[in-house]
Amino acid sequence: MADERRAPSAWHVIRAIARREVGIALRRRLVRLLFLGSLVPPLVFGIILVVRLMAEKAVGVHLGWDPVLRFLQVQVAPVLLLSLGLGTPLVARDRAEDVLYLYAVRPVAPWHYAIGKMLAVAAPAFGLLMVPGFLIAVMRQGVLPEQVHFFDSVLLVTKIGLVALFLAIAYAGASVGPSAAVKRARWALLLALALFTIPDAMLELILGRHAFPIGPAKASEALLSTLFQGAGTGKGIAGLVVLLGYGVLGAVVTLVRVREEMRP
Amino acid sequence: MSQAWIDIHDLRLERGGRLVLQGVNASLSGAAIGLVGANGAGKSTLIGALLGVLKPSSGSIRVLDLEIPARAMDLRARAGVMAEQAGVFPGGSGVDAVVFAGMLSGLSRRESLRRSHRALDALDVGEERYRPASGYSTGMKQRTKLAMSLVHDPEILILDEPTVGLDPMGRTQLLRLIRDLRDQGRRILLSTHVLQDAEAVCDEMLLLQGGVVAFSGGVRRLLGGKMGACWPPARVSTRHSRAEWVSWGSATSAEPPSVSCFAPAPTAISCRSGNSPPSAASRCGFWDAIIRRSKKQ
Repeated sequence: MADERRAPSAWHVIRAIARREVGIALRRRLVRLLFLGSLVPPLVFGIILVVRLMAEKAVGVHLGWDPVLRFLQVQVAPVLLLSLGLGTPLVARDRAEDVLYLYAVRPVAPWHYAIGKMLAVAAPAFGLLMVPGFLIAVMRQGVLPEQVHFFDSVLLVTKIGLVALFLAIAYAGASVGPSAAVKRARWALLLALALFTIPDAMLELILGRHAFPIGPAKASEALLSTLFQGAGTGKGIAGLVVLLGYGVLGAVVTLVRVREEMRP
Repeated sequence: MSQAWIDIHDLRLERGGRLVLQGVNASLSGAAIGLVGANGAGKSTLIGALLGVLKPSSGSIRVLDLEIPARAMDLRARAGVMAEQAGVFPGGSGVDAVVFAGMLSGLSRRESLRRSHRALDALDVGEERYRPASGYSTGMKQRTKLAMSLVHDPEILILDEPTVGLDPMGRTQLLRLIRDLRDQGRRILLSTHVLQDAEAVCDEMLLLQGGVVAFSGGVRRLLGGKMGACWPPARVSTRHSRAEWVSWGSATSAEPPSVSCFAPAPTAISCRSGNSPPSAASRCGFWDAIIRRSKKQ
């Protein structure tokens, strides 16, 4: 028996929680399929680039089409699916099975739990955008070395990283938060879907199509447009704030709920 | 007597506007301490307070010389807790749950996996460990829960109603396991409303009744001749004493306690009843149960 054993670090506990949830999720076919599916866009993108190169050589005209934005807009869909599938049962399941006390009697603080669960969604979501994004940048550099500067590729990876980070935080918050708010995963899924659709739809109904984003889906669209198309900075910043807000909100809802229930 | 490892001073704890613990004082040094009392006596609340999960309204707690709740996290890393109401971590197999419990207590994944198999082997959990924990029987769940509390090799074990839902054989086996753990030098706090379980394992008892300490001391003193002086506590209501204490005695004893535990009941028992004052002996369900059992011996 170890004397004077001290509590593990917060990072150790958070990582353990996230790791377990990701491990369990990876056993599900849907999640595995999504991960494998995330490799399809870079492959398609690679084929498009090669075809483009061949066409430009044959015709002798520079087409100048670089569908990175299109890829990211498409890739948001599997990220959304993954977040909903992974995040909505996380806390609801623990609450339904009444196991929150099992965390409380171990060196786990409520905020460790909340961040650990969020990380379990955010890390794969980040990976789902970042890994193919990075592959695309590498492929782009490899296929079009004379047209793409190395600095451009670094900038592209940084931009993709920024989008992936904020999207992962927001989508984790928007799926784990509802999971903490209700006791059934099904209700959590409905609530999360409502978060992704209703706020923007309502605002659009009132203010028209050019309204600022208030839902995570529109916010991510605004951020992408600003970073990759040079659209209005205001909307991009608003999108960034909204995405961060959903992440914080999800963490706070989970924390409050868990603090209430982590007791005998 | 060795040094106390649980020290509680004037502990008061309020939950939902109700004072659940009303000035608990105890200094406990036994290798295995039985925390006994009827349902609702405040046992789980006291465990929650000892672990720093529930914050006391006033008073002080020291466990293993750690000030609680200030150093609750350190205590939880050194304690193994088998909670009554909570099951096994959901979503995976039994071994997954034990590995996860070890990781939460500070072990690396590899170390936790190694120790999990060792703990499950020791608790006779065979190939079932690879099955989803959601399909486990109560006995298997209890073993897995015990493995979850043992995986990080804790200095103290806090067991909250570990025998609930077990059949007599499962209960005997679990109690034997707990006794073995005690004999290996681990300190144990066993919370139970089944008196026989506490007798079978513990050398010291803390008896809670309505949030106050009704008795604190050696098991023999509790069940022996000195009992009359301290039992029943002044606050015991007749209604409760019948309904709750009799149910203690009616539980099947998996391993009959030694005869020496059952000294003749004291002749003068003051069962204080506010409503109707019939004969003391007939009102004292707790004593009735003990006398009944001692006659069976």
